[in-house]
Amino acid sequence: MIRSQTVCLYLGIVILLAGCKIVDAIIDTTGPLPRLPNWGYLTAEMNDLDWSTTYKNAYQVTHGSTTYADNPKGVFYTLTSILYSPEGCDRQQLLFQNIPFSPQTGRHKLVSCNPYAGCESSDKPRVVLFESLSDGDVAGDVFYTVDSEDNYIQIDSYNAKTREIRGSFQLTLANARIPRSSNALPDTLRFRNGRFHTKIIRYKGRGE
Amino acid sequence: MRKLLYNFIQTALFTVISSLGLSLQAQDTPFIQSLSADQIPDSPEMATYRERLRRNPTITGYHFIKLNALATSQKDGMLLLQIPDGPTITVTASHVEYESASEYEWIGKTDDDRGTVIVISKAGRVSAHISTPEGVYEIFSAPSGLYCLQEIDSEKAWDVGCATTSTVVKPDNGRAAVVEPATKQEDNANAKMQPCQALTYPRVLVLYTPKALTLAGNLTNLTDYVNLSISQFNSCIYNSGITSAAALVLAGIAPLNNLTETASITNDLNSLIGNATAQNLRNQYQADLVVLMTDSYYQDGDTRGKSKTVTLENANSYSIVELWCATSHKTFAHEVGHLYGCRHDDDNSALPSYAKGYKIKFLGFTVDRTMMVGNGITGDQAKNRLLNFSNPNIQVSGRATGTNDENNALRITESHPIIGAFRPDPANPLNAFVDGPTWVSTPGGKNYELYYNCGSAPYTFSWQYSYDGVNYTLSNITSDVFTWYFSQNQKIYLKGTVTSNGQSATAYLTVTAQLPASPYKVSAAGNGNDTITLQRELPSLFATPNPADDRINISYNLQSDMRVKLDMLDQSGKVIEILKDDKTISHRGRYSASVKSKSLPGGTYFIRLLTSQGIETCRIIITK
Repeated sequence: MIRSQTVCLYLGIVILLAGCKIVDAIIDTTGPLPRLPNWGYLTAEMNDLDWSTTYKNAYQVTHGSTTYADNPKGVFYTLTSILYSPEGCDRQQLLFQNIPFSPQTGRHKLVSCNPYAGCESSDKPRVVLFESLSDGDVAGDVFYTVDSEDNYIQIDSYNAKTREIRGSFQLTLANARIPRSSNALPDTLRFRNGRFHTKIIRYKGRGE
Repeated sequence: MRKLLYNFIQTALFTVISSLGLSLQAQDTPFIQSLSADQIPDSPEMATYRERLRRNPTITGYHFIKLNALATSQKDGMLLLQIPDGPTITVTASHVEYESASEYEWIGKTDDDRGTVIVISKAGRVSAHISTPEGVYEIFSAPSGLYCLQEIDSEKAWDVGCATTSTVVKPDNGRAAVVEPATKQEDNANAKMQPCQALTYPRVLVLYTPKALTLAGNLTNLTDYVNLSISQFNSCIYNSGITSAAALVLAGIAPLNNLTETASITNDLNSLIGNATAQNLRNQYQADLVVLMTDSYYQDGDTRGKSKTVTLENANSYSIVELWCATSHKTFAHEVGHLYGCRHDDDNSALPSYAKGYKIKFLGFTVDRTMMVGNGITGDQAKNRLLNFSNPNIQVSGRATGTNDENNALRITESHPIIGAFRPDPANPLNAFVDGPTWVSTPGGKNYELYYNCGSAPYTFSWQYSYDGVNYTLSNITSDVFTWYFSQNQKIYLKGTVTSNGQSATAYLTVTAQLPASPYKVSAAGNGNDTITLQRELPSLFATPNPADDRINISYNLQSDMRVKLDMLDQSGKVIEILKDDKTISHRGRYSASVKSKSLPGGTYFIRLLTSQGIETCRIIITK
């Protein structure tokens, strides 16, 4: 009797532990909302308004990831934050790319690489804001940095054990798509008091 | 009540017997031939091939097979596909362009039009996409002369979403802008000749990254993917009753080596548009649209395609599609649909308002979704996306595929001439297309006209027709207008050829006739009422022998007393002889009649029986 009670107790503990498994990220696999991982936050004022209130009842996902590159060789950090309208139809993706990793605290100047202006590739730290329509399936307006402004991302801390990263940023972006695909956003976007605290999520490769 | 039950049993028996008959008669040799393990070579090439398959997460299983010739595998437009360790799928041809055993495009429907099967052969290399509610399969060339049948996991076909519409009455294949000849020909036969101008078919340039080429294995394999992708898009055009002039034409396939995939598809899409090499290639190939095939895993595989415009912007007519899901997830067709101006089902962000996809619902649940529906459906019924653009006038499984406010078919009908003019088209050799109604709902003669250009007089014309799309009969029509008389439900395949100075051009058209006098009338106005009304029985009409020479014996059976008229028509629908025209009621029973056909020229004729309960027609061929 005691043995069976013990077995039940262990079984209960195992079930409880399995149920309480700590996950790296929340991945929603159903419905119209994103299936992307979300951990932490990214906030900023865009043209003096809270960016996350661009869409009423907006939904936002934020996470970091790493990119392995051969030329220049190294590991680079990407920070993504996507803002969704409630139905998921319209989206804004703020994408920081080529941020030196391993781990480098400090401030990195962001410069533009605007394909509309002839830049085909760049390995310098950069940021871009993409607007998407049609459930993210159609690319809308695109905003690149105004290089005469002080655009930066600052890594304040990185915890290699938990892969948490924390920092701040400041951006001035201008629309590069003419004619505009929509006029939902103004031509120039000034992000101030930008802050983030998120985690680097490792994407699985296809077939893994 | 008893009569209703009797009718029901009769219907059920008819259905069972018909389906048994079909399964027994549909083919002489199986198209898909399974192989045993010892028939599959264990070579390094095969090991590499298997490794590439393993990299595709949507392939849940695969079989190496042999494919037999389509011509001997299909019968009367029916093709049976025996999936190894899987179901047997019965397919009915719906659009066929059969040039030879090594060059053809064969598209068929399954499951009450809910499924589409595409089989194409280019230079003898066969590729296939089998999309049914029960499963999705693809066939591609494999090493050692074999083929690989791949089973696709529909659960992972959680593709991107979009929408569309059309207010056309019936899809009459009304080519929107048939251009009048600049100079009238003096006499006759060249009346449909047009000045040698560029074709307006939208042309697509398919670019690929080095990673995409590696994934495909080689350029030949990649070309198979591209050809099947274009056929899949075009099957949506044909399935949706849109003019074949909107069909996509491949302008070319070229590498784009200076664009490396990043983790962001939007990033890559903007890089593509700004890429000078891509722009130069677009101009060089005179392509209206550009699609870049990549091999990435954008956003953990969540994003597999993206387009830059849904509002027909020339400078932004670019899409990115992941090669590994171009056809298996229908991503290529979906993204090109965006470039044609189609939007998702719930997308009211642009004009026209009707350019939206459509979810087909029954009792409030989505049971099917058209090509441009935005979001994935978790329910089993609608996991597999239809190869249809929304159109209120086209039904699938008895339900309308669109509404007046969700009609991407109309959008494409209007947008394709605009897209086709984005880039100047190359000078063309002699070319032709057939224009005429592809959907016939009233009995009578319909004209099919052969339009042609870029040749020089004199021109000669020939027409062939087929009941299975593969085996054609030469007609005696030698003008550029071909008339076909419709008097029964049927599918007819037309092949018109124009010849000029040793050059020839052939155009194909598939016509479906759904006439009111069908034995079964399905009430399917898209209102969810799926009632099936059994109509009264028609007299059964036979004519023997067929083909006939000098005499035709006709027999028909009347189920009840009724007035009867029996006549004979030629292929144009003209009555050439009245065999019986009762002024009084004929009593129930079997009757016979005969026609002397010795004096009639060889060709196709119709015996028509008109009664107060409907019209029945029997086609006969007179040989000389």
